[in-house]
Amino acid sequence: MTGEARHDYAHVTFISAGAGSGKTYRLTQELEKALTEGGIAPSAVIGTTFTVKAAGELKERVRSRLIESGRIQLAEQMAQALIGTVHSVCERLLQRFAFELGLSPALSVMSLEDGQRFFNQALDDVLSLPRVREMNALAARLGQEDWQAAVKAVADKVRENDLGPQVLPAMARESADAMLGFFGAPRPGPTRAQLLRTVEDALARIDPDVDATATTRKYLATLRQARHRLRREDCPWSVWIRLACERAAKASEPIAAAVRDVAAQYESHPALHDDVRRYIDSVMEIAGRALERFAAIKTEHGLIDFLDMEQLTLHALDQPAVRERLAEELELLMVDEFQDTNPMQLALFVKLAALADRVIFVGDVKQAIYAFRGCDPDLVFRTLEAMTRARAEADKLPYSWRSRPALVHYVNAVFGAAFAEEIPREQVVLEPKRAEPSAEPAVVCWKLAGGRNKESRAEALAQGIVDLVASGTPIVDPGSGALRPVSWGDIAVLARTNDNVQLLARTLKNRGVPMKMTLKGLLETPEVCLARACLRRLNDVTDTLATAEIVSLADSAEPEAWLADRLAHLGACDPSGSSADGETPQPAGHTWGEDRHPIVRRLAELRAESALHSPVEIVARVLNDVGTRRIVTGWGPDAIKAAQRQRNLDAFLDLAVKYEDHCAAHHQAASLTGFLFWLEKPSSPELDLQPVVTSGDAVHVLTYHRAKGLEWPVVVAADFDKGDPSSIWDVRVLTGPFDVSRPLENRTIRFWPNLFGDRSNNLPVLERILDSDEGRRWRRGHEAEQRRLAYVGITRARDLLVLALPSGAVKSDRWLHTFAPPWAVPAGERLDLPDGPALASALRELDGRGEAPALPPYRPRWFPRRERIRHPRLYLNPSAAEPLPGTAPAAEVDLGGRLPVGGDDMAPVGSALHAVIAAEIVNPGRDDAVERARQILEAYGAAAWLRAEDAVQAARRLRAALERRYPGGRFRVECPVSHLRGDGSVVRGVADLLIETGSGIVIVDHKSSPRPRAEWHAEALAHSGQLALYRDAVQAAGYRPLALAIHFAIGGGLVFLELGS
Amino acid sequence: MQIHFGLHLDAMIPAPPRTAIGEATVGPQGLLRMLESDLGLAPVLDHPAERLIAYRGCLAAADGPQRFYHRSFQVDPINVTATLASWREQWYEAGWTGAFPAGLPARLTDLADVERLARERVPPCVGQRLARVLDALETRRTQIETLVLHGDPAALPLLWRCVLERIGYQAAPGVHAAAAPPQSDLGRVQARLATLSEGEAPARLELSGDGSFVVVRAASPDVSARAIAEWLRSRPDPDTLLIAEQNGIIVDNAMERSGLPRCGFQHYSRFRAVSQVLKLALGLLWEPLDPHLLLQFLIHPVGPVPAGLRRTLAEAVARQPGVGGAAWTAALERLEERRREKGAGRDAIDAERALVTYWFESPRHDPAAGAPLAVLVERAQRCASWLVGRLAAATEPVERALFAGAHAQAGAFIAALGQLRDQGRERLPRIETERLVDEVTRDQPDPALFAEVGHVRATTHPGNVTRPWRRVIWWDLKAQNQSFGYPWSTSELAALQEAGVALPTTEERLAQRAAEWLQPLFACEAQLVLVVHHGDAGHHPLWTRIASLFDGWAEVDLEQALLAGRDPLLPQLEVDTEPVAVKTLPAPRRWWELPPEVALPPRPVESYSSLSKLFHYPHGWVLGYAARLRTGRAEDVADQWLLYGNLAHRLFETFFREHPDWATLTETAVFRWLQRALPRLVAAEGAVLLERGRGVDHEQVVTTLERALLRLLEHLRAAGVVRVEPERGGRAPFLDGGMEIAGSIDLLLTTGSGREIVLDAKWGGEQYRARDLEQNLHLQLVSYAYLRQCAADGGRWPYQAYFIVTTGNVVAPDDTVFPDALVHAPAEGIDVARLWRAAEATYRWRRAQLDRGLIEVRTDAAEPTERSEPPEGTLPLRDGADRYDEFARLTGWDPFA
Ligand code: SF4
Repeated sequence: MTGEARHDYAHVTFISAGAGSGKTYRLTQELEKALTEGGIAPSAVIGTTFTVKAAGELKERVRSRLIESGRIQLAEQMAQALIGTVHSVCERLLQRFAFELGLSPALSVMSLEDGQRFFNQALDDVLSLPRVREMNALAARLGQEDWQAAVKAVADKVRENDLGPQVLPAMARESADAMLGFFGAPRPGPTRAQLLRTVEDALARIDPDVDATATTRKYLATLRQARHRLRREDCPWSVWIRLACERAAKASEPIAAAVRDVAAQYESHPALHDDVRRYIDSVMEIAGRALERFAAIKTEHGLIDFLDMEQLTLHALDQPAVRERLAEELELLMVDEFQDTNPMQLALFVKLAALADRVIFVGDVKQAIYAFRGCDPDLVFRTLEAMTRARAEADKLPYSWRSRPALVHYVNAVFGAAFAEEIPREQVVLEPKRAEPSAEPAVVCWKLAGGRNKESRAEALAQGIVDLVASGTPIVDPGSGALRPVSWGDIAVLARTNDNVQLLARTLKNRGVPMKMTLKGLLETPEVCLARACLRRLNDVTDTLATAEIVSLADSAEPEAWLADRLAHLGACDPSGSSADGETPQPAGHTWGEDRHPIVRRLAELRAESALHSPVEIVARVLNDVGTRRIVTGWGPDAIKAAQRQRNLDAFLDLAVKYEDHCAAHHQAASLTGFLFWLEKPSSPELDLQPVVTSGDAVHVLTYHRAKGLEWPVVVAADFDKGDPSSIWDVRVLTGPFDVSRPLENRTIRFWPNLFGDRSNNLPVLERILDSDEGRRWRRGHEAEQRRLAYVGITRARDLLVLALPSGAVKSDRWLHTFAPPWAVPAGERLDLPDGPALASALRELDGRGEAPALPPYRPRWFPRRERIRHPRLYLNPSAAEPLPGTAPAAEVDLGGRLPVGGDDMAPVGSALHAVIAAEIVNPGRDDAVERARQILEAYGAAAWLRAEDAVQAARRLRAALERRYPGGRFRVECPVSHLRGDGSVVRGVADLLIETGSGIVIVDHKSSPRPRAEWHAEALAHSGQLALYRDAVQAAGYRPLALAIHFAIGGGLVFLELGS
Repeated sequence: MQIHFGLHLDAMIPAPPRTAIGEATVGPQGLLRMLESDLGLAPVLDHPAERLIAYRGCLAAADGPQRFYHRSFQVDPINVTATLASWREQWYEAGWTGAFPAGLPARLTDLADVERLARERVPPCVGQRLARVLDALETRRTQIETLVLHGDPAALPLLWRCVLERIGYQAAPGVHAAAAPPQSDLGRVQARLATLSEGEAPARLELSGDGSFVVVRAASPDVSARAIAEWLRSRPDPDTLLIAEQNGIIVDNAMERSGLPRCGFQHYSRFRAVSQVLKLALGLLWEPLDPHLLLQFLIHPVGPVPAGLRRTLAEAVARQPGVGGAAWTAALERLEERRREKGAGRDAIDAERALVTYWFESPRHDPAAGAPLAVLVERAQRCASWLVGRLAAATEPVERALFAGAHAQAGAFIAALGQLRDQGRERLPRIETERLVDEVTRDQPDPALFAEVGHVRATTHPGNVTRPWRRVIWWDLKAQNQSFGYPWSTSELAALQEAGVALPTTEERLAQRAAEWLQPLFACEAQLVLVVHHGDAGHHPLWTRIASLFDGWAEVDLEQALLAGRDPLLPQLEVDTEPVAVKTLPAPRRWWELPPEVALPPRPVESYSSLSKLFHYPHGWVLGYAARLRTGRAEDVADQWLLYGNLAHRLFETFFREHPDWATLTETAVFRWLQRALPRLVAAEGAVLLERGRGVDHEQVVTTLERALLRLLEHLRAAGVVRVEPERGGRAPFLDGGMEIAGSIDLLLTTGSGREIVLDAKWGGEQYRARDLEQNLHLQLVSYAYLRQCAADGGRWPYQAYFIVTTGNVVAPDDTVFPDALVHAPAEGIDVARLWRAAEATYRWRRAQLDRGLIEVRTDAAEPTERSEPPEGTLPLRDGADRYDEFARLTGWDPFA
């Protein structure tokens, strides 16, 4: 099966897993079954999951089940299964096939922000200055704030859909034709000068004293501004558009209408057509060229990004060698969350599927919610359809294990109908498996007072939560299955946007509700500010602002205290004469704090070591030595926030690691200064996120998107009264005919610049667009996405679903109406499902007034403060020992004259001599001794300075002399010596030569000093300390030290020492 | 000689030290060195990078389009070399002879071809050295009397097994039997794990939580390490072993914090400050200059340029990012002057100037075309000789070790350049240069880390646990994410096997690894503590095994327990804790009140900026001007509007200084001047705009500046201006009592009719300036006007206007002077004299507050009080907080911030 794309998908199973239908369980079971019953080796499995965490859990669950069934070895072999996120699987495959693909075997994956940086470089490289000027001017006329972003967006789409730059010119033409088609054919009309005259005329005719309304005053200001801009050649089109829309108050309306008439002709203005066309062409053309350059830059740097990984893997699967090996090795392919694969991943899985023996796709098309990230649910639908037609098996998990029956019925009824157009009802409904836990309402509607004021509505919602917990409503504990009163941690609040998450979270927090969420602004949290201030102070002693921040934060000190101290310090300081090194005088008072503040003092100490350490090491040191964790624990104000602070410190240390990784990938130098720069520009918003604290009894506030895959006993679904935030402008993909074996074929990029900004009323062009086929198709797609997102949110609830809606009616174009018929919103204690059971519901009006909850007091503990103690080194090296006073030479033995030696660095000669002597003593008198000595001398780089013959001679004469002196002695060279002393320290070294004789041990140390004989004594005495330590060790080991000698290998002598005490 | 040998014993040895002669515990590296010494074999001393460079040469020599590595090698020679070198090294250790029989898979034959060269040219690897040892053992003896092998012989690579068999060894007793009392949790865990048998489904076991088997969970390794340290402190027991496979340095830092001796866990890094100097120094050689890199070099803790000199230049560069601009030149002049004051001679001064010229003003090279090798060599040599000097001066062994390491690195770099020169290269592009530096910069241990007397026994590898211990702590048991399996295909593996390369199967290796994990568990006699951290990456397989088989052990979640104030944290684990006093963050307060003894005296000279702070944001005045708090040099490299604004000012200043005849210049002449002046200005004072990837920004700034100057000239002509004085300084008495106000007017204009105009240039914010004029908030213009009015001895007040660079518009109170001005004025018109009196009144009001120690903190977080209301006759205050308050972190926090 290595050849052509296959047209039969009988080996593929698609498991449709509705929300809460036990997908994880099934996945685990399938994999386990494949390994045990199917006899598939773990190494023959490729599996992808949506998150790193999910991959780890899947592996672990399978492992666990294998162990429980006694398959221990198989469990160990799970390490070989290739299970991970799509990207990690791609990375491994690319690594495995690096040579086949001509890639570096050590691909570095670059971060998003680096990608942006390189893309900007590519833009720089392909654009000439005049071109940039031209683009700037063109974009300014069309009101396009960031044309580079548009270029990047087009380029990304090209890559996401595996297109090449060559397709762009045609797509640019089509985009412009289609867009301008809605503007009407260009025809000569009023010129700028004419419009200017009309405006001037209007200004002259409207008398602010006659028509003094606010509306007209505003209109006049608009006119005046327009006049100023219309006078200039580079007047932007937005001036026309604005004048075509704005109105005056009734009295002056006829005049305004005249202005509107003239301005409205921008639609067919040839110059506008020209500008739009040129802009679209240019953006797409530049995108194409930048892409090529971008690719080259990445190759140069040996870096790839996520998209490259997917694309490279996709193309790798076209290579026969790769296909062959995979076809041979790959038995099972599993893809989780199939609905969220982007087009490229989808193409990749289709190709991989052709190589595997068995394929399992698991997913739920109702939960495809990543269109905004380039996913295309339509493509997934079509692929599944086509595969099913080609004999793939479609399996559906029938039961709901998550939600109570009432909720399952509710979801069946609401979404069975809502999805009817795309998905048959039987594919949507699930059969409840849980028992009904209580008679409490399952669906509740909270009507939030506050009208259009978001803050007030958030207050009302917070009140609802406080009341809910106070009411002690029973829920089923997800762990034990027992009924118990609801607690904070059982509740999730889902919001549409990050901003609303922030607002709701803030409101809850101010009400004293324990709350957790994904927070931004890691770098500006006080704990990270404290850490950064410490690093700044360490890096630059003149950063007195950092000192102030440290003092203020570390002690939670009121400003008066440290300010007074600072002023006093300044009063006593005379900066003029006090520069440490006579260069620039340090700014006044920079040593502030060093004398008294323990942290500042410690930082000053650490500064002395900073030359020795890397950024990560410094950060770790500072966090540890300064005692940050205890300080931030003291800040509280509650246990959940304190836990968050702890996690933030971990995240900060992790940033230092990421910084070093970044430097490594980019071959850049890393330094503390560099790290501080890097923090100044947290180029990726990801880096600035605070880690989510998972523990703690707290309400979880998050977006619908992030809620995917999670569940809670109670879900409060907010923001159904929101509109659709997406717009038809900018970059989109259009699809054509579909072929499952080539899913990326026939895809077209549309690029329509938005000329209208936020304006959406009174725009005939926009109305025409939305009314067109293309516009309607686009809108349908978006509504479907909204429905799916609602499905994801609503099905997170296990026991209670709360619909939080404003007290008034929800407008017809809002999210709610994309999925919920009027009966779906509870109006009282009973909610009748059409052709289904009735369920207990409730309606509550909330006005935001109410008490704050009573919470347990915060009384944290931490580890005690301890004195810093510098313990002595454990291991002492004898060669560093000081000479022993009172030592005297005892005897001197002449070994036969000085050996010829050259060079000025004796270290290599000495080391080589040691080695030659050792060799000769262990294996004496061999024929090849000189040859070996030569090799040793060469290895040490000493061959030019000492002859091999002489080195061997030095060894032989020493041995001979010692054998004469200690007949029958046992020689040991390079002998490890270890002496555990009374104070716990250990003298550890390698003695050059020990001779064991009947009456004790002789200790000999070689020296390669070329000094004349006259200096031997002095030299020998200098090493007495070392010999003394060896002597002590020998003695402690239970031997008798017999004699101590220094061997002058070059000079040719032995000096025996009588040690002092 | 008595030898204890184990595969992982090169690093930390668990056994406690003792007194002994002729006894050693060694790992592969240690034993190999010993054997070579005894057998008289030459050691291998080459820098590891040299081996790679040599092998790379062989790959290159054997390369050709048909080689399997050909394409990859072109893309990334360094990593291809490292990968393939590791292949051959594994093969040699598994018994490869360096050749393959014919007919093997292509990749193997290719590498055998390469090996024909490599055998001669590449310093021998471990496998080759072992083969040599085996050879020598035929004819020579060693000093080894006994050799005890710790660990399973099957786990050793083939050649090691051969060597050991040749020498003769005995196996360490090992710890496969359960060591703990059978009824304890630990004993039951051990028994169950020891008796697991394949294919038999074990029942789940409920433990009693007796404390013999304890699990410590934590979110943060720092916290768990500290808990362990505190436990060891309160319950010392010499028979305790601590295992930390990675990041043991965290444990040691915690030990130190708890007052205990460090175990001596090592930490390796290639980013130590000393070893970064070479790279930074080389980075300065490339076009365009990267001001951030320059600052990194200037602020680095060490470097070949004296610290004081670097510090002075750093300040200049942060202000005006670039080399050779006004700030840079001024800094150098200041330095020279100070030298002269100190009596330095011409030579010394010249020498210092030459240093600056060499390091910062040398010609820069195109990154793609590359720098001449000689230039690179010189730079590296300069670094090397600086390092030699430092080495000579260093007294601490720790310092010496690091400087020596960095010196070796520079040496290796120079040597590598030499090889390239020999290969005929003349220049080296930036990327290659950087990669080459990376190649010679290896991970280095931290010489400042060492074991201290009395430390807890510790090891980095579970396989090293080969005897019973009363207590075992396994810290950070975490998911194993390294990929398993060989990089070779099934057929390649079969071919290797056939060719005598005896590699263990992946299954064998996995089983081996699993057995090693059990060793610490079995070795424990009384109490086992497993430390597990929360994380997304999953768990250690051993942990999964335990969690699948048992329930009910004693467990604590550290952070939760600590923050909930639980005491004891866990009854089974005695960790000292104490209550922490809750001190919420200082809250935002509208007024700070200093005690009477702390004075905030007036400053003798104020400026517009300081007055504006004092009026609107008194805390800013107090912290910035009275307490003189300053941010560090690296904090704010001027960029964005701040920088662009500065560039505009400098451009106008230069233009008008060079062109007293501006009024008669044609547009073309001005444009020609701009073409020359702008690039110079940007390079010297705005070089961040030259950084790669900022081309569009750069272009936008340049276009804006060009257009702005032309527009400005139009305005001046239309207003009949005859004289322009840029950056016109001034000083005037302020109130009574000898105080003064000083300032520098961007552009002081004089019209043909002798009327003076104060024109202040702003980069953007047209609407903001318009509002200022409408609301009488243009204190800046008023104070400049005051300076001129005083200079004219109380004569006429000059006219005032803003010039907005981005739009080219003049914003003025009327169009009487600048006909094309955007007109914005307060309804009642502007009365400058009255405004100035109001300014004086405002000063007195704020001053009186300060005299009473009252400092108003106008932030959004604290509501105004009665005192915040300015009295009659003062200037209006700005709405809201200071948008660019650099002291925001000092003005209080939300308790949940
Ligand atoms: S703070 Fe700095 S300037 Fe002031 S006295 Fe101390 S060393 Fe001198």
